[in-house]
Amino acid sequence: MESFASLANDAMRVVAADTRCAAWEASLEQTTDLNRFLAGVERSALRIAEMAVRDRDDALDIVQGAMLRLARSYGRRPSGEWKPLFYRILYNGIRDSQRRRKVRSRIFGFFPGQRQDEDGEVEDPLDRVADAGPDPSQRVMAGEAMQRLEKALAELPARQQEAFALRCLEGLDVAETATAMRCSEGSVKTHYFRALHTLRERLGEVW
Amino acid sequence: MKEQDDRLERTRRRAREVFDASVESLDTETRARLSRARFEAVEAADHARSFGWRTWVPAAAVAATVIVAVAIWRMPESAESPVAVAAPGDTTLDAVEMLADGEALDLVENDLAFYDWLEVTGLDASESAG
Repeated sequence: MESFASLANDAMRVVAADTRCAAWEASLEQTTDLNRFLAGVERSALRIAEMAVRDRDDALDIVQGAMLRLARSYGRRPSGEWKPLFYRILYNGIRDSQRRRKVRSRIFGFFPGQRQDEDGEVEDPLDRVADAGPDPSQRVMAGEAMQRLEKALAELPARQQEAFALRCLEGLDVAETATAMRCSEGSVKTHYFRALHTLRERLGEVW
Repeated sequence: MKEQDDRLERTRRRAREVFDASVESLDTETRARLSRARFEAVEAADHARSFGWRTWVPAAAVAATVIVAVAIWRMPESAESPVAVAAPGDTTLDAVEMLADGEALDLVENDLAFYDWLEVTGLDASESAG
């Protein structure tokens, strides 16, 4: 009887150890998947954020915030859901940053000695601080074409910029883009088509 | 129409090429900062996975405390009901009532004659039974 109890006890221990081992393996696999996913999107996400906020440090902060938020809040979700969620978080960060910049610009606008740009808008004094972004040589490397694309993109309405960046530059499909933008697939198609059409007109035959 | 589609497709392809080239040209310092940010995020995910259940413990403790407090608070109300529905002449309930009645208890304590009577009647009863 005692030997039977001992055997049962051993069997239970083995089952518990197996369960712990399986859980650990699953966790490790998810960590690896998350690392791989983030490594795959981090650079392009940075460039997209940089194009939107025109500041590398701000863009890095936005990307870092998006990574952390995804990992903490959605790390346990299936990896297939990560991409649209990540870009939704990223664009929320971009919008927050743009909002903060506008508020800062308005606050500084009350002080005397502020400058106005050619459009009559008050210039953000922080724009005059030495640019921490890519230096001129890097800009040359990135190419004139990229500068033109950035300029043309910046002139598009925000939703068209978003649709174009996600569909064309990040390669999300229509459904993923709709999830990231929190709108219908029809809206995505409309925004994307209009963006592409306008870019074609503005960039002309240079491309 | 087809020509326009082709032109749009060329624009799309060219934009993608230019963008990919700019991504590839990111300097090493920026790449390193991105890697650090990624490791932090992955660590945060591990931490959240390992200790996620612990965040529920305080909430569960608070919920349990509230439930117990409400149960205790409601108890006198629910304890009244058995007395109210008890049949008249229930000796157990009579005894409880008598014990709860402080005045009656004082009377019993002060009246030594009562004890004498109780002793005598108790003996008489046992003798007559025997």
